[in-house]
Amino acid sequence: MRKDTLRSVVGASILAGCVLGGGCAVLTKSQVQEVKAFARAAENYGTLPGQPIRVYASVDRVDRVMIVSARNFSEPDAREKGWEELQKANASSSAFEAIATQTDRALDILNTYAELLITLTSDQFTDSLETGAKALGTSLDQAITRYNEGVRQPKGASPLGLIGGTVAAVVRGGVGVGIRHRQARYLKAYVTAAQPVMGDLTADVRTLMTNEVLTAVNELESRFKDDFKTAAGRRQTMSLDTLESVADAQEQIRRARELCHSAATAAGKFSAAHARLAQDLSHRKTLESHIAEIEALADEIKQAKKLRSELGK
Amino acid sequence: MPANNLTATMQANTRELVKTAREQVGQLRDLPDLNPKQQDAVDTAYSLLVDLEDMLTQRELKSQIQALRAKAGELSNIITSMRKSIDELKRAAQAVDTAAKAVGALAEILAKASSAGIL
Repeated sequence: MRKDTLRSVVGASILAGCVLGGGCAVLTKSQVQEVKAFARAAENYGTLPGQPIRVYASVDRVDRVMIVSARNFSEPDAREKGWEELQKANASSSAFEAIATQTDRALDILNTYAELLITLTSDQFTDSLETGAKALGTSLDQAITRYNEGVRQPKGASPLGLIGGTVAAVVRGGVGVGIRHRQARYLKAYVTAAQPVMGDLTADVRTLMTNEVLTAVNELESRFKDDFKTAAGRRQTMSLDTLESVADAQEQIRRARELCHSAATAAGKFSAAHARLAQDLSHRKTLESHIAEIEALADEIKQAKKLRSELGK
Repeated sequence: MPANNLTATMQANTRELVKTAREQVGQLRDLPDLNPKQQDAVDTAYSLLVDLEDMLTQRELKSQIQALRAKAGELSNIITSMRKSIDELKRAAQAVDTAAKAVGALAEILAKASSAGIL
């Protein structure tokens, strides 16, 4: 009993000294939560900005077909020109589609970054360590049992005690703390390095969405309206199919406008979540953060003890 | 003003000029007293200006996306280092498993040696 108490006091002192000395900061639960909040903001964000450009591609094509439809084909030249103009409409639409894909690709990296942050801060390493430590303890006890049976027992010597549980607990605790420490160190280094890039990148996305794409979509709507009026005025009548295409395009423009706004807002949230994470990792340590680190370390030790008692059964 | 900003401004100004020209030619399309030849000429000019305006819009968007890609490239260097660190953590966690396998093999050897009467 006294031995256990002494061990606990020594353990607690080592933990406190380790954390307060600043030598081995470990990953805390709140940091893991911040990373998860950031990842939620990142989820599927990469495909948002490309979408309004895709809508532009589609409506641009409808508009250019409408322009050709307004031509007077009684002029022989108009037929040849109309054919070429439809080809150009297809080419232009494809070019805008390609730009949308390039935008998606450029921003897909944000998803990759968020996913790697999640992996970096996950329990998968300590879980894998736990399995390994358990296997080590069991194998060690098996080897000692074989040795006792094969060597010590025939000689009448007393059997060696089984130490697998203790060794497993020491390995789980020691290496576990080391892994948590490295996770915290890596997280801080990468988030700090990425923060300026992230700020610039999301600011550029906001500018792209609100200054470029939204303006282009609004201008396209105005052009489309004029072209519709010209075509309707010249033909005097329009088929239901044509009118449906026009109505669909109007609806697409409305959605594209909403998408521009939501992509810009999402970029802002994305940037704020990353800045909060970077700030959380870089600010001067408070007593609360020391306590959180001690708790994280204590969790590691608790897992080690649990393993020892499991193997000791 | 940096060179790329100057280019961006020039591109935007050019597109604005083309847009204005396209709008003015667009108004001519609605004139009621054009003969078919005149209508064809105005329609052709209008289509050319629409095509030019779209090309300039594409160019502006491409410039912006080029800038995004350059910044994404900086992040990709960080991502490469992150992958390396994750591999290191995996190796650290798996080292214990490797040790367990080695000790497991030792237990097997001891069992075989014992049953063969070597020990």
